[in-house]
Amino acid sequence: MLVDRARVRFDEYELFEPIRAGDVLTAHPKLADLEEKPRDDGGAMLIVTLQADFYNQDGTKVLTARQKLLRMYGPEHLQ
Amino acid sequence: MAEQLFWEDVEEGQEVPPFSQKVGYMELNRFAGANEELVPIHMDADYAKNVAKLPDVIIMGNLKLAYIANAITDWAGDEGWITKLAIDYRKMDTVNSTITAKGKVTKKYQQDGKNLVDLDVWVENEAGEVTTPGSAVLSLPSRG
Repeated sequence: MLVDRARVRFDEYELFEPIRAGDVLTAHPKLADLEEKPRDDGGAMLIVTLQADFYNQDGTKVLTARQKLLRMYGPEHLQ
Repeated sequence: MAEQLFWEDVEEGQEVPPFSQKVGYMELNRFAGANEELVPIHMDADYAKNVAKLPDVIIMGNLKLAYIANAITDWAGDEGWITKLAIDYRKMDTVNSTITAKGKVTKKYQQDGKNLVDLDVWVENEAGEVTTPGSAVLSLPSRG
């Protein structure tokens, strides 16, 4: 069975400097990691790690957010 | 306004006062609006059970993360600052259950001029099972 939505499994927020009202933030998102693990049913679990670094108007990094998403694939989807 | 907590007053092993909430559709829908998370598995029991094949409508992971942040900030006071929060959404919690956010101090130290406290944090269900473990770093003011 294919679970069509990616499920959020893990969130991490690291705050370096205060974010204040009126700040202009720019996010730089990236695909940080991809990992595939076999499932007992012959399918696979894909672990997608996303990371976004947020900078304020002075170019100072204020926040890093990391998220792991799980996506399940049944054996019929791995042909 | 919460009373201010100072770094000197914290000890390793100390527990964060728990934050408990019965999570009904009111809490889920309000948070869905605030977090732009208008997703059927968090709003619609028929969809959750019959289409997504879940036990019931499930509580958003980010709401559980927010309750953990509530527990920490209610304890830390206005000058306390969460510098890191990491949460593992391991088990589901379902609508109309009471969940409780808890925390415990694992380490107290000074680094780069900051007074820091490491915490284990988690959400428990009504049976006392940990559904959502995590960790946090809290920066606190010093009396000195």
